[in-house]
Amino acid sequence: MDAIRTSALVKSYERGKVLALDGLDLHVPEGSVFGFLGPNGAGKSTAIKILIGLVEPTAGEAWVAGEPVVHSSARLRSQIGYLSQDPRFYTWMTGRELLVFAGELFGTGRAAARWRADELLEMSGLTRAGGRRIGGYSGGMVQRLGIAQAIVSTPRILFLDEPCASLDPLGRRDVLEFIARLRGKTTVLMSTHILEDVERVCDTVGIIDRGRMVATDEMGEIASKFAPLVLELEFETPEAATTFRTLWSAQLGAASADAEGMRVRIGTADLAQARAAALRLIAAHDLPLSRLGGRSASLEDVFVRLVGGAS
Amino acid sequence: MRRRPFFVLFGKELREQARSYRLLTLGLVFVFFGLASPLLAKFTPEILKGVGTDQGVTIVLPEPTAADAVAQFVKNVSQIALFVLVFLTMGSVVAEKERGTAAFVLVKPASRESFLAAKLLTLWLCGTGAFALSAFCAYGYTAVLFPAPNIASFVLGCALLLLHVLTFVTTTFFFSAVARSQVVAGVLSFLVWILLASLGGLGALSEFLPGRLLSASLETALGAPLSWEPLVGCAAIIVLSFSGAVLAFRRWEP
Repeated sequence: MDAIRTSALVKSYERGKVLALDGLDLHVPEGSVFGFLGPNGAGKSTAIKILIGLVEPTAGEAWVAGEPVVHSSARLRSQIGYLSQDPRFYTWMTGRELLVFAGELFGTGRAAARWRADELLEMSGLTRAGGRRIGGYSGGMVQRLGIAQAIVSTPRILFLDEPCASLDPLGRRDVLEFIARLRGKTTVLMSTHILEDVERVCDTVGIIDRGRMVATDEMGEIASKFAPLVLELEFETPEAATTFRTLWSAQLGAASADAEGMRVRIGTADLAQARAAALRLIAAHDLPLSRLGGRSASLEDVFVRLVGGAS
Repeated sequence: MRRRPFFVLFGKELREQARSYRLLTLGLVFVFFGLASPLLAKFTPEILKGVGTDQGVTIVLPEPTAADAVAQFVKNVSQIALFVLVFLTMGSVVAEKERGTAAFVLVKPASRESFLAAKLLTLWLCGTGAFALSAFCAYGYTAVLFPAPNIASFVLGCALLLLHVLTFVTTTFFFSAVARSQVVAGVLSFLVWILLASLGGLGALSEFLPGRLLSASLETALGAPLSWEPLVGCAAIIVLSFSGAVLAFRRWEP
């Protein structure tokens, strides 16, 4: 059963001139940790804001925990937790006060809310900072407090918008471990553009580009489905790599050069055929090749193949 | 004990007013004008007399009375103190929209209406408290410096003046819910304030404007019968402002 489902979800701004979501179809299985991947501006945050009832869609339908998503529905919000991309809280409150306040908004009694706040402070490593004003917290502490307030009501569905954005490596590891522990108990939709985070904790992944879902599958399946194999070519100069990339893209499909600009990776279903085509192209244009090899595709390869043209 | 979201939000608003020193600022401003009003009424003629003597001019002014003290109080509260109150109100909603804290609250099971109602009620309560303190000081000091005015009439006059204050707090609150920045909210509030004050020559309609409450509050405080027209006008402005704020805030998307 799907914990989150959308059907042809559309959101436009400025009287239709800006299309943030363009018929988004999303299915998130119950109990899964879903990685919502996409380049900046792909529509991830807009989709999440619609799903939590903060923003009204222009067209289409959505369901969360079996409930149709209605703008500003208190019933919907009683079942979800949310951490925004750039969490902002009342800086005059202490961390503990914020968690008690959040708990009480969910209808928890004062005593139970205090007990839960202490539990969450401990869980997020903020016990000592719990009595200090949030205005004095570091970015990482605010992020951890943000995750704590998102799960204050033990939600059925948790929406995390870039949860590791401002964390140091240790904080990131803790948060990812924490998210992984929720698997099976809480459905987690985690938006990010950090592919490594998705590979570490998500069991299902969806890739969004320009407001549309371009791929959804289980983590182990998506690579073989969308970019089963990768042909890697390393040239002697960045210019040669760029020339090859342009020629390949124009003639055969998408390709990407790595950060150094000397390497080109090509996702393909038939490695032998791709290798032959690449060699023909290299020979025809006399490009200086230094290395050529093949390997299994990673999530990054899938991502680059599906949205590389846009980014 | 479980509390409804409105009461949780109301409690948070009260704590915020206290912690941000807004309540203290408001109290001090209103108490200052409550004490200064009778004092100014009493000593302004003597100060002017002294200035005139220095320059060789004799200024003859009537002996100040309790009515002058009450008039001074009405003037001070309706101008400077109200200015401070509007200044403290203009960011009440828009600042939370700008900072992102409104979105934090609105993804919890609290309605947008409760969010606004808790804020407005807190503003009213703080404004009323500060005003009551000010009126108490003004009456006490007037009674010390002049023969004390009739307390029942004074209280009734103050109630009208308070309604005038709360009307402008509510219109400012409306602009805070509608505007995209605190500056815009503040400018629009003061423009409406000026506009309503300049509509005094509209014949029968001007009887319903909040500005009429100022003269009515002074007259009533000094024993004249209560006129109901400005009460109706202010009640209508308050209801329209809050309804407008709710409608605008329901459509707001972070």
